[in-house]
Amino acid sequence: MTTDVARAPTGIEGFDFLSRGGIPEGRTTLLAGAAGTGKTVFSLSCVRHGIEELGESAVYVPLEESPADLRRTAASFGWDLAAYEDAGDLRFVDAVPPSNEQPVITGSFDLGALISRIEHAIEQVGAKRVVIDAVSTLFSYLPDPARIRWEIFRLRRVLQERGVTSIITAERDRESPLLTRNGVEAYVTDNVVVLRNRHDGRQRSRTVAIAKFRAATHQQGETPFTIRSDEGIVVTPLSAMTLEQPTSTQRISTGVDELDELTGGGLYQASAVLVSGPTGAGKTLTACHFLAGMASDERGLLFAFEESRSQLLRDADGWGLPLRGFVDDGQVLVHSDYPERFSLESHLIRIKQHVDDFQPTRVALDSLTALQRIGTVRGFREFVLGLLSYLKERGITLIMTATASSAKETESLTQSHVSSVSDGIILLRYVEAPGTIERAMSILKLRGTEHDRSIRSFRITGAGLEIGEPLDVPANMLGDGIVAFGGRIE
Amino acid sequence: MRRSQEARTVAGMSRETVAIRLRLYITGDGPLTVSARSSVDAIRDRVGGDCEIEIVDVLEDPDTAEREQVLATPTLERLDPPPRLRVVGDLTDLDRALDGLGLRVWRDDENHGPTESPR
Repeated sequence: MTTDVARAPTGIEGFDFLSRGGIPEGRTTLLAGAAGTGKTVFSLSCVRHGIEELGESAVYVPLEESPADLRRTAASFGWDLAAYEDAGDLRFVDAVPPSNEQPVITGSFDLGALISRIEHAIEQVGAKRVVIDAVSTLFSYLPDPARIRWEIFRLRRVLQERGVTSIITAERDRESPLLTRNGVEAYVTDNVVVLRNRHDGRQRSRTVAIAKFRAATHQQGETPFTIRSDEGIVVTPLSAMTLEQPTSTQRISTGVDELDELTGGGLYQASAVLVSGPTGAGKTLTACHFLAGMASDERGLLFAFEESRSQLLRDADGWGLPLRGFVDDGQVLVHSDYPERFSLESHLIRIKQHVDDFQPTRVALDSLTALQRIGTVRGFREFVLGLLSYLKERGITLIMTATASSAKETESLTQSHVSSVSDGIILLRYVEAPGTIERAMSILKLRGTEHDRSIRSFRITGAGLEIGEPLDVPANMLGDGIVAFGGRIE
Repeated sequence: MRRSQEARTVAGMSRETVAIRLRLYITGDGPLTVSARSSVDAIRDRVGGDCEIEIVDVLEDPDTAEREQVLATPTLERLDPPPRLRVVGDLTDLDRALDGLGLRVWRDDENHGPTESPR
């Protein structure tokens, strides 16, 4: 068995997990991607992390964007490259071809000048990290592909001899089966990372994949990432999340007195409760109650994927819930978005960002069903798992709603692991009583609690949700649709 | 491909009054350097008159290469008279090299000055 090579952490959240610690230390990693996939941001992140966190100086060799452009790009992420340069931690080797015009070539040449300049810069700042971004420019500036490939190979050897960790970026043609446009991978072959940026329909989805790490273990497959204005690249290895969250014995109110009684004193802090029921049964209402039932020192976030913010507040007004007042006071924030606007991965990252910014104690998400339809089953499962573990770690209590008119549909959520990872499930149903259709509620599951198992009728009034007595009729809470009074469970 | 002689020449300049300064960038003393050196000697002979050729070894003077953003060696650059023009390679084809440097014209007609553009 080969020993795993040492890693140089990139500081890119998620990528270091995927790669089991970063890119191979003292070696060259080829970073391949089409224009606009994030190669430069990835490289800059890595350089910044080395300087800021590890005291490792860097040499950056731009071939496309001038150092001035790169300083500006970095500044948009809040990174001050000029300060690194002044401190002697970073040096640019400006290799952007001097003019647009190609020089006349006659006879043989090599890239001895460029390689010497890079070596000189490495010596000057004692660099441990080197970025060449992007070698593809060389192929168009000096159109002798065989020569350029050989020179890149020579450059890679020089970098390896100097023991620096390096990234060489190369342009990739979007629909091409080749890894890079100029076949650079044939010469820089040990470690290859591929960045992709796809638009399917209205969604942009960025992924990173470790195509190859020689003598090094790593996670396979494509992993989504997002470029955030404040911290650059954030990779979301959803499968990395664990379910080892602290459990709480603290109870918080559901915002409905009777429901607090039914649940044996309210919901556990940091728990995640699913409210499942057919359209119009009162799911959004339950979520609004939950936020309106906050103590004065709490904060709540509502993510609405089915209704606009104004419509939601209007509904809450109609139910007599003081949600608008909370919003005006800044205690509750409502974020409304079309589910289709982003991919699930982006939604998760955005939700996390809002949670980080607002520091809520309660989160309501209405509804999971709206999000479920935009992704794959696996993607949805990972979204839910990622969301739950993120909120739990922070002690935040979550109510999420799902549209399901029967237990069978709740079961389909089980397939997506939603109900199995939920700490509680509240079922809402319609039941047919003599001459009328009534609403009924039951707590199907509440982890760690002696909860009421009765089926209660409830009404939606101008004062919100009113829970009544236990139904003394068979209500078929787990069956399909509306159940006739006194009817049989079939 | 070739423009008219008028377009290629600097008005009012004749070979006798124009000082030509070239700079050859090399890396070390490998075979490319050796062959480039002998090529620039031939270029000097072809151009004649006041022609100064400076040689910069990037290994010894990386700062100049950095400042001038030189990528490939050998590179022969025309410094004077402006504009600056570059030819990359060990200059095996002298006509092509002179063309690239905008100096070819003197081979054809000694009364014309250096060209403004390589094309």
